Amino acid sequence: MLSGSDIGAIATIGIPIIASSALIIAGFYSNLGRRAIVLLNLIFGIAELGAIAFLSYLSISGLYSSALNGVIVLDGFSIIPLLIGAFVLQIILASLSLEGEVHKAAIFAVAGFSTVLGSFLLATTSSISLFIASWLLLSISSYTAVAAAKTKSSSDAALKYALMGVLSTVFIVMWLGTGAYLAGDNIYSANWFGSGKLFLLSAALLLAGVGFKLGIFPFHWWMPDVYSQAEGRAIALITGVAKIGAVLGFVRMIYYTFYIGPSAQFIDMVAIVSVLTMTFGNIAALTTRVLPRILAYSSIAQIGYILVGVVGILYGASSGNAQLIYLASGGIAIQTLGYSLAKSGSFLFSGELGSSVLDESIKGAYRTDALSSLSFSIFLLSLLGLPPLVGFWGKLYLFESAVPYSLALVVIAIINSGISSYYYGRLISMLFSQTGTGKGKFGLRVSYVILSIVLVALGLGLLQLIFPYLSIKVL
Amino acid sequence: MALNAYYFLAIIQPFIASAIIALLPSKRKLPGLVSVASLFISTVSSGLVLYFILEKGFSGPISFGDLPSIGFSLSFLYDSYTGIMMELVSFLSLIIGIYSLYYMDGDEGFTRYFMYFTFFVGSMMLVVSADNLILLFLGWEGTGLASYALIGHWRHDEKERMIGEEGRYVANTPMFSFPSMSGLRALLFTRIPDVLMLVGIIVLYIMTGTFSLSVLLKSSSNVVGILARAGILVPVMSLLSIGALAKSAQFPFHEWLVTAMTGPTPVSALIHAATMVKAGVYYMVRITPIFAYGAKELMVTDPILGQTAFSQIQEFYYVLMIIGAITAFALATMALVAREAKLILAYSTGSQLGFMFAGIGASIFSSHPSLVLSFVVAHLIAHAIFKAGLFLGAGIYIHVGESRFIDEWPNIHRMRVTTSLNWLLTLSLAGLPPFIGFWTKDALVESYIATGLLLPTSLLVVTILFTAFYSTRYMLYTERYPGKDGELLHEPPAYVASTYGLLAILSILLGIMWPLFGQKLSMFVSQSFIEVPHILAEGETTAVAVSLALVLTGIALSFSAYYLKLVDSKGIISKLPSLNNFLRDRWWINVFYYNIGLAFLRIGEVTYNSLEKGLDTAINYALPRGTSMFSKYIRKPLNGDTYNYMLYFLLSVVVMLLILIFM
Repeated sequence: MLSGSDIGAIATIGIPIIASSALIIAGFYSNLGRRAIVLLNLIFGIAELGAIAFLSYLSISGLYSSALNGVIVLDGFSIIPLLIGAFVLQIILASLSLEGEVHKAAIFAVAGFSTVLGSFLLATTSSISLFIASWLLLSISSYTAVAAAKTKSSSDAALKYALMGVLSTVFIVMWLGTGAYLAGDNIYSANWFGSGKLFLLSAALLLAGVGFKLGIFPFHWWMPDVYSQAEGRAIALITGVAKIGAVLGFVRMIYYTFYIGPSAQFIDMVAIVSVLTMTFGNIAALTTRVLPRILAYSSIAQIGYILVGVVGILYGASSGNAQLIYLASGGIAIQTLGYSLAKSGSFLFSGELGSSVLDESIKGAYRTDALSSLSFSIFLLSLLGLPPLVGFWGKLYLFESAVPYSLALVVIAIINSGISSYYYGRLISMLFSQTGTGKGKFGLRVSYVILSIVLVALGLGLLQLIFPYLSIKVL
Repeated sequence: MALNAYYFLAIIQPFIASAIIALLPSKRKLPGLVSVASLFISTVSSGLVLYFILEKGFSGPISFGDLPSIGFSLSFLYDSYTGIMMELVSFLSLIIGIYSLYYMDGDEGFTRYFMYFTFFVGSMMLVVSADNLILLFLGWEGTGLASYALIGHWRHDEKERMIGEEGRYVANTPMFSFPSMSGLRALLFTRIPDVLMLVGIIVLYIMTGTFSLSVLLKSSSNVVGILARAGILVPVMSLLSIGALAKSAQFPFHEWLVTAMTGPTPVSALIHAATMVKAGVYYMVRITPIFAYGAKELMVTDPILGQTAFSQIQEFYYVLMIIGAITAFALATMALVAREAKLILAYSTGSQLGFMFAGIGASIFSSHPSLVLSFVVAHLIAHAIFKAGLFLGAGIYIHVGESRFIDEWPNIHRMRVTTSLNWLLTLSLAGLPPFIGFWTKDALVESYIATGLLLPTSLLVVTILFTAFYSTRYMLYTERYPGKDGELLHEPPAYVASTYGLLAILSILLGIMWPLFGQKLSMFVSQSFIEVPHILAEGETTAVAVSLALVLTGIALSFSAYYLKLVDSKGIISKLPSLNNFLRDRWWINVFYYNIGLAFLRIGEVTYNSLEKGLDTAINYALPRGTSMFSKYIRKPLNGDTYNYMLYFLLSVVVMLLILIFM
């Protein structure tokens, strides 16, 4: 007998599959044209949004904490950011109405739906094998999204991305191999064996593999190039939808791995990596003059902040402090959804100006399109962490959760946030600069405005309402 | 109650008047008239307070309100000493205020002058009446502020406003000063000692829990006991005294008084002769009974502690006496060769203050400290009266002679009225009977001799000779060496001459009355300190004889030099150039201070430059440049080469695994 959550989960999984099939047929095997694509996007997108909303209702109201025999975990930690992700997907797909070519539009839309599917599965699964499978799905949809534009630079970017992505997937599989002897293939009923050192190594491999996608320090080399060469819309999809799944799934896995083999050295390692990532991202962004590259380095720094929250969760797990886990996972969820909203908007904005544009191209944009400039400023301010926007709350909880572990780490994180104000501030001041002319009105103005309204609304109070539900399901 | 109202009118009202004056236009002497009116009200109110005290006796402090949490209370002392001081201050201020109407007429800073003048009077009244030490300190600082403003009144530093010899440098030190510089010097020389005094007051509060002078006096043995037990008796006494020493221009803080003469003459009269410099004396006389009687009582209750405390106090007051004696002696020697009228009078003021401090020091060695203190107070009053008068007269002479140097004046004896009045004042300063100056100085000399301390006493006694000499020299110089030919010199208007005329008459009147009422006055004043038995020591006739002899000798010497022209003073000076320069350059103390100040400035400059340049370079140059370079450096590996990326990726994984293995 199917329970409510099962139905919801099946819908969430099924809709993207059906949508992708429909889109391929409409795009390649019919003459319906671009409008049809847009319509299909709208229908299926809203359906998917509805399904995830249903699941979030189930999770928040506490009715169900899992679906499909426990394979899908329903906790606010994953579901609510995914809800935002689905919403962002709609916004991004709506931008396809500006895309001339039907084929490109179709492929991109398929990639979009696959991404949201992969993201959903990655973020909510408790099964190792499903984790790996959805990781692959997510990766391939990302490569496809980047390649969909069919320009030279996009193809270069997609290739680079794919090459490094394959390498990282290898490490994820190695994680499985070294870390687990599965009696039940479900981390909630896991019988994970292995000595302490082996766990350490396997966790490190997970870090390496997922770290590639997230942009963690020694694994981030591809990010600035790919983010600047690819089309803005594609990167918006990746940062807005795919990253949610990657981050949340990674946190869940690392948290549970840690429970099995708690090790103080691993926390130290994560802390060191977090410092390196933050610092690298912020300092490198200071002298970059290419707009999407600045955003890419900023993404690297953001992931560094999230790792601070990971330190919090791990430390809470090791010291049995449930409050800390609650705080840290809430922070990660907020930061992720804030990042998704802000970055997708930023990359759409940057993409409208062209690919690999210099930051000077936004100079004086306020004079021609005030609304878009204001929205872009709001995105950047949220990333900076200015209250009362979402980014502030995320950083607050993240840094707070790491205080018991080490005050020094928090101080470094705060200093890094301070450093980041330079490049965010530079961009914002360029928008409102007196010299320079804007490039005319932006096509996606409505999207920017919607995204910024959501950011402000969430920051001003909605977040506080949903915060209690945002914690990770404790083992 | 009426008494409260009188206190308010006497003390607080001048502040209000000062604020009002600030807003008045300079027309028709309006600010001056308002100021004089305010001072008149103050004088009358103080007189009424004094009357109350005489009729009904006095009691504890009068309080207008307080803030117990910080120990502050708006309370005023109500005793004979305060009553007399209040009347003295307000009366002299009134007289000098009237004189200022004439002297400052036409000055571009007329309003500003009277505003600060009235503010000063309010502050000084506060000092002499405050019971709470914080309140006293507030008034103290107020007088310092007014002094600074008034010394530097002619702030455009015109050449004729200078003091000292123009263009004369001794060892890189300018031996001249302009009003703005002098104002600053006055502030600086008194600031640091004032801060130390505040520290002393606060330490006293911490140890005893009170700021109130009356409470401290009542429980004086406790106070001394607490301080002695904690071993900080002498340090606290030093801290408390140092502000007074600086304010009263004692050695080595006397330098500011000399250059303070750049202020208008009435300011010199009021602040630097009659009142502000007396604040230090007033204050010391207030706190000495606490220690003197406290120690004596303690010797009864706790003999061992009391004995140590008493001997410490005696040592401290011996030092105080020495300082007073040195000041008196040194400044008198400087007055012997001074050429500027106001400088002679300034040195004389400092010298007489030295007498007073020596008297305070000597009080501890007497069996009746409060009696000796009352003699100090008597000399304070006498000196205030005749010195103020002398300054007012000097103002007239400077105006008429168009110069601050006495060797450029015409023969002042051509101004019959003014000069005769001035002679009365001068003889009082010299210490000739029957003027009041003789009696009070003599009383002090008796006290000095009674201590049996040879060094300070001999210095002070010699100074009497000098005092008589230089004061009469001041008057007689132009008789022998007139600077220019004068026709009939015009006397100032009657109301002006009456101001110093009144003071001159007071000098002689008080002097005549002293043998009759002197004792009563002393006892009246000393009642403020402690009950005094009605026995008074017989005057030492030897002391009277000695001091009289010295005075007459001094007067005779100067007469013979300047009037009878028997001695060639200028010839003597030319034969002793180095001595002359030594005295003329104020014992080179100014040179010393100036060079020390320069050294400090240089150190400050060096430190500041290195810090400033260092910090500036670090923050504005090194940090941004460094960060930029670092930023560009870390971006270098991202050159687009995918194979490199994959290599770094793999290497990173390997490194991480290795670290984890060996961690």
